[in-house]
Amino acid sequence: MKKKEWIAVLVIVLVSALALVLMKVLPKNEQNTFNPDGSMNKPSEEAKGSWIAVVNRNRVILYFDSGVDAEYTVEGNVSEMVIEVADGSWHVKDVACYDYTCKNMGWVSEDSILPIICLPNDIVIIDAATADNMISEVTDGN
Amino acid sequence: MGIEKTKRFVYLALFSAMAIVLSMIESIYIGPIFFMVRIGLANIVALVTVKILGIREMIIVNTMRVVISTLLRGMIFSSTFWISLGGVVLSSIVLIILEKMKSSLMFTSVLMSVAHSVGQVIVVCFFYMQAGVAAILPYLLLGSVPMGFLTGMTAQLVLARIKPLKA
Repeated sequence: MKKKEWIAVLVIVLVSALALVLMKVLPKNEQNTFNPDGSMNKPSEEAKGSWIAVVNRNRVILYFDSGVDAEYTVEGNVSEMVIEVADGSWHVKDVACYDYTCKNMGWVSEDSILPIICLPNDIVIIDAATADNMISEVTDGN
Repeated sequence: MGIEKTKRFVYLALFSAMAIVLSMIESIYIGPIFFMVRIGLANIVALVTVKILGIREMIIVNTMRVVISTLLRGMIFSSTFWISLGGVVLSSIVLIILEKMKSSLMFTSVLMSVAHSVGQVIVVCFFYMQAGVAAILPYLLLGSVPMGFLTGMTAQLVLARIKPLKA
């Protein structure tokens, strides 16, 4: 092998080693880890407001932080649902189901009595602790 | 002239058969050596073919190897087939370029092995629509380099024992 070729091989090895080190050093985006059944793992970091869970078919498909203003889109049984979070409250901004009850419930916060429920989409938006209890009760019942 | 042509055909058939058998043995009996990294035994045949018969024949041997070995394993046109094809196409392109540039056999082998991994990862990224799969590439590349040296050394030993055919 010529000297130039050795250098080329060395460059490949160094670049891959550097990429490996970078992958180990850079922080992981833990908010996006999913279980094999498609449910989301609860984020380990502390929420600014509190963690709210979007439950569909007895699995959490999204955790969001009620303290962070944002928009999320989740897939329900019949359509997509757009959830808007602002000032510690959240509401269904857009949904394409046939009765719009969830959309008409308006803004909901942690102090609200009723959570947002969408029957056609089988979606419930509740705080993370209640979601955990609800799911474990259902799975224990099986 | 006639004898030369027949000889080329026989060699082509022999190399194709060897590539198919090596590829099947590797996938069935050997498997990944460590963390998804395979030796790439069939690459030895590709290297030998390009030196003895030429570029066109190498393409035929590589295509035969992918199509027939996946066909025999009942995986033709499955994801395995496309992933394998992606690796082989990219490694063949690299082999052709390096052959034209008259690079050394060892370097060609290493880069072929690297190109094989890159080609496979590209196909997986497209197939599963997950660009994050590319994160596996550094592991594969680090494994490809020693495997490339290994196949290169074997090809060198083989070539020292077979005389090239006249074009």
